[in-house]
Amino acid sequence: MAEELAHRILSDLSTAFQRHPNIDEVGFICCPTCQHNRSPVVVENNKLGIETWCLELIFPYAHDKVLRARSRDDSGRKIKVSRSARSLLEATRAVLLVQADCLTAWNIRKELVEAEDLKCIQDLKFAALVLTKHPKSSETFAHRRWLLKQVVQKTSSTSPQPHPVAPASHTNGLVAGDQASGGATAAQPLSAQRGTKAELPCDEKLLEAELAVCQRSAERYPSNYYAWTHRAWVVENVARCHYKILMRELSDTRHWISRHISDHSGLQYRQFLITQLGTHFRSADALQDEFLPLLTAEFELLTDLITAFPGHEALWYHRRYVFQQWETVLSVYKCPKSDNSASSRNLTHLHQGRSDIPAEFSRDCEDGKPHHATVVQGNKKAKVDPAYTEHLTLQTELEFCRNVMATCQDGWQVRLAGSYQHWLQQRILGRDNNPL
Amino acid sequence: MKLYSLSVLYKRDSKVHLLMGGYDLQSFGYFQRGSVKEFMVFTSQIIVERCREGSRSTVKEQEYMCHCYIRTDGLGGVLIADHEYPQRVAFTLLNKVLDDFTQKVPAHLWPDGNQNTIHYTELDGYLAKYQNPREADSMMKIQSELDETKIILHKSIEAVLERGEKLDDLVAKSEDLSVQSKTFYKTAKKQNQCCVIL
Repeated sequence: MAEELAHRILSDLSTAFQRHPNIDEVGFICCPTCQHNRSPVVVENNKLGIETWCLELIFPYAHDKVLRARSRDDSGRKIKVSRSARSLLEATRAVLLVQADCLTAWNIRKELVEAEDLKCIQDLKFAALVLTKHPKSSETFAHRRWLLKQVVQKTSSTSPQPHPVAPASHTNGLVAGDQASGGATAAQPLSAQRGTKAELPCDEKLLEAELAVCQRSAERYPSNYYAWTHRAWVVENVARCHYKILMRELSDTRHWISRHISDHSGLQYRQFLITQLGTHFRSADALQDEFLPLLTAEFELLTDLITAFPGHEALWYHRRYVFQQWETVLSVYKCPKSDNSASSRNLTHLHQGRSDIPAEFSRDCEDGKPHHATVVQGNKKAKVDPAYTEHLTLQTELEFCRNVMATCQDGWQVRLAGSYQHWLQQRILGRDNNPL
Repeated sequence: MKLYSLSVLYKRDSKVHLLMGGYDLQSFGYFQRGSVKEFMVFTSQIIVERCREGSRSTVKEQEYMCHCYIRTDGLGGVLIADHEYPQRVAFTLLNKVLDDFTQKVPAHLWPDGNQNTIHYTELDGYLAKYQNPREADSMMKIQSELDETKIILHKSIEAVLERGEKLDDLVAKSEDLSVQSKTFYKTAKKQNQCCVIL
């Protein structure tokens, strides 16, 4: 009896999907008992609703079907169960809509894709639907990665092998990055080395769709680490860390983090972008002319957010990351011998600063405004002594901490500023004790 | 940072009724929105009932912050936001909304007013505008506009209830909550979910 009912509900579900191919959200309708003599599957406004009373009927029924398709005999060999692809699709669909982390069900769908009973694009659409109800289901994201790999492999086997550095050309109707996303991109690559990568190594539409899925999942569940790590994976493996995409993502997520100031995972994605962008700048000149301004902008964004919205730890930790990047960049092109008199003066200056940090820094940076921009952008042509730049950055950072601690009334914010200041000082001391 | 609901209520002799409400429930699932909205109204009402006239208080309930300001004339406002939304902006907004409401809706309509008799359509506009607290940039700076009244902080809805009162009972007794919303509350509570209001 129950089985019969479950079977009927499952076919209701299939009918709903057939009649409404554009279902874009799934949800449960809270309803512990069957109150009306009508189907528990509702479609309204392209949203699929399932009444909760029927979940305990359809889930065991469909799950059982899924497991039976996987059963093995005593010697561990698979028992051939003659099931149509259609019935397997229906069963796995029902299971996954209720419990998105059922790996067995996703694996059966993988086999169906391999047997060409199911198209990758279709299953991507279904997995996106599952994410509207289960936005942080790691298995669903893992399945998407598998599907994307299939799609990317297929496209790259029909066109010349795209490579992160070599120019990639596309013959099979893929959109070139220049036409589709020129407006959104923040800056054109300046050096010839990056100029060769004007074309995107992937299908723009596929990439956009995937990024949109990540965005929706991150929006639906706060601090959705799964969605953001998946996004990083997509940028790395689908867009192959293309310069243009990295820059666009950096400018697109700017708004998002300004509205989600306590979301570590969103900021971590930004750190991924910045780290990847750093690898695009090979020469010392490129690092100084293009990468440092980028870090400067990040410092400024953080100063702005920290001041406007006091007391959010995530922002302070992101600041530490930016500072570390800054240090790394400077250490890359720090020249060991500087006979320039000005720079050696600066070096001595720096050393004085190290011996007595607080007093020295307070003397030098009085207005408390960030100096990063003037240091780097104001001297684009003239070479700035890295030691001097580093010294100024440190000063600015320490001054920023002091300012916050002196003016802010939020106790937690003051503690965060204090611990950042402590961290900075520890770094300077550590560096002095262990010279490279 | 997000704003979910902004409501104007009237309190007299410890009886409270809703005059007008505005909601932004885009971030909730389509089929949840009805119940979520009912609970936002229910919560706003409970808070205004339990807080004194002339007071400002913020009630933290899971990841939601319910900011409440009741004027001495009985007109009250409740803004439900997430924990990222700056408290100061929330209270400045409540001040502004109550002032605007007083200007546009005559006070003699308040005691018997409800959503059908009162014509005040600004709430949705306010909600949309203040979703981004920096849109109201000047507000971020104005500190003096709020008078000296201290903001009382409560750690949960239970904390504002009177002795012996239980939230479960209030939910069960409520006539404004639908059967579906009550079940929704029970299930959410059983599963210890934090993705629903209350």
